[in-house]
Formats: sequence, C-alpha cells, structure tokens
Amino acid sequence: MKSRIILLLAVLGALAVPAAQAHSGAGVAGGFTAGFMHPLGGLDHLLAMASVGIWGAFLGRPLIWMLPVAFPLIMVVGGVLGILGIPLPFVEVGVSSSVIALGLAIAMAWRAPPAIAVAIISVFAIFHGHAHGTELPTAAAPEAYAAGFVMATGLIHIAGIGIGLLVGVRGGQPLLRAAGGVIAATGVWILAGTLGLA
Amino acid sequence: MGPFWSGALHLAVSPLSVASLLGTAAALGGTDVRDAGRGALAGSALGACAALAYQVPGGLAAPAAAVLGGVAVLALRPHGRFAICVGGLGGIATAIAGRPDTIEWPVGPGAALFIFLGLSLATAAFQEIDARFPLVRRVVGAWVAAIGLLLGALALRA
Repeated sequence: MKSRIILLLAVLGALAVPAAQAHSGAGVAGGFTAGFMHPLGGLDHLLAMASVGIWGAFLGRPLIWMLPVAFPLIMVVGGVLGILGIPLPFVEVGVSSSVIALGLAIAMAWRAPPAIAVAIISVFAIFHGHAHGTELPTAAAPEAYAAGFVMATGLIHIAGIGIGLLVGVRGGQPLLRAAGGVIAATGVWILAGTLGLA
Repeated sequence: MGPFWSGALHLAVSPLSVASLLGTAAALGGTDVRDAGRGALAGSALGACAALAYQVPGGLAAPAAAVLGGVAVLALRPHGRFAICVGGLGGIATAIAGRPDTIEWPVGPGAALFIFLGLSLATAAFQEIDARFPLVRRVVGAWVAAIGLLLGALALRA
C-alpha cells in the first residue's frame, strides 16, 4: 500500500515538473492558480464552503456526502447564468447571507431534514456559482480557472468535513457550535461591509 | 520534445484532460482489478485513436466528463461491458481535451501511455480510498461533473 502511494506520488510529481516549468504565472497554470486561489482568497466564500462541510458532517449520513456533492453541481447552474451574462439580483448579499445562515445552522446544531438541507445549500450554491461564473469568461485561461475554483471549493468542503468530524470527539460538539457562532458573526460583519454599513 | 512525449504531456497540462482522467478513475474506483484493467485498456486504445482523429470534435470532452463524473456521483460500480464503455469514454474525453495541434502518428502512442498509466494508478488509488472513505469518490465525481458542465456552457457561449 505504502509503496503504491509513493509510486503514485512519484509519477504525478514527474508529470507535474514540465508543466510547472512551461507555465509560470500565465496561461493554463496562471489560470488554474487564479481559479484555485479565488475561493481561498475571499473570506465569504471560504467560510461558506467550510460551513457546508462542517454542517454535512454534523448532520451525518447521508448528508455528509450529499451536501458536498450537491453544492458544486448546483453551483454550476449559477455559474452558467453568470457565464451567459444573465443577471441575478443581490448576489453579494446572497453570498454573505450564506455565511450567516450556515454558521447559525451549525451553532444551533440544527438537524434539518435532508430535503430542506439540500434546498438551503442549493439556493446559496446558485449565488456562489453566479459570482464565479461572471468572472469566468474574462479569465486568462477559462478552462484552467474553472478547474481550479471547483477543485479548491471541493477541498474546502473536505476540510470542513474533517473539522466537522470533531462532533464525534468528546467536547467536540460545543466547540463546533461555538465555531458556528463565530462564522455567523463574521457573516454579519461581511454583510454589513457589502451593504456599506461597516 | 518529440511528438510521442508531446502527445503525453499535452494531456498532463490540460485541466479538462486531467479532470476527465480523474472522473474515469473515480467511476472505475468501485470495481475490481479485472474491470479496472479492462477500462484502462479500452481507454488507452480509444484514447490513442481519438488523439489522432481530428474529426472527433474537442467540444465533446466537456459533456463526456460530466457523464463520467455522474457515474462516480451515483457510486455506480461498472462491470464487464459497462466498465469498458466507461474506460473508453474516459480515454476519448482525456485525449480530445488536450491533444496537440500537429498530427503526427507518435502522438497516439504517447496519449495511450499517459492514459493507461494515469488511469491505472488513479483507479488503484480510488479503489484503496473507496474501501475506507466511500464519499471521496462521490465528491471527486461531483467536481469533475461540475467542471464538465461549466466548460460545456463556456464552449456554447463561445
């Protein structure tokens, strides 16, 4: 097993070297980096994505995988609207509100029924997707940008699930609920900034 | 760099090629070694042909990636002919998404080598992961499907 993993890493590393040398900061590599960094660079996206994973882990099966799977797929709907230039009202407010709502769901340990949890995630995913999709056609390498931001979003979800699994550890649930409160409070601050109040 | 390595490395640096390869591996990750091998062989053979056949439009790669991601999201376990179809579709999608602009026959074997090695290693990794964390296959499938759908929309807009 260990030797297989080492072999896999060696092959991937060998394949990655020419790519890294050929493209530094521009073209495909630059587009991928820009797309990958986009969800990591904005606090609103970062907290919302992590909250999806945490809430999914909090809710247990089947939502532990259903939420991180549903989010990118529904995000595509918003992304396509953005790509096609179809306006969506209150996108930034929707993105900020997602941080508040998901933070509160974690803080209150809300065990939402699967259909309702997926519906909530879907609404917010459309706002997040639209924000990304609007920027996509102007990116240097749109293919690489899209791959980068979808991958970063997924990795943040997985990190969120990892954090959320603390719920099974002694004292983990209060800690996560407190973290949810902090996320919701940060969301209020972000929303105030969006509305020009802070 | 010769056309053989060019055929392999063009696929390695194309995000949609890599996404298609990962989607295929995620789809085949729920199978046994025999079906994964069938899929990898079918993928490399059809991928080599597709890399040389410029009549196959590159725009088909995005919807193919979406289909492959969907197979992984649904946690299907392709067996027999279904595994061959999944591997073949993945090989074609991987090859046409990142083939070089020049037509030279060594591009085909280069693409086949990349697809066979990449698919075999990634599928083996997914099989190991699937035994411990089954949700990873679904999550990766969702990424690949999302990338395929987004790039499909982008191509339609262009």
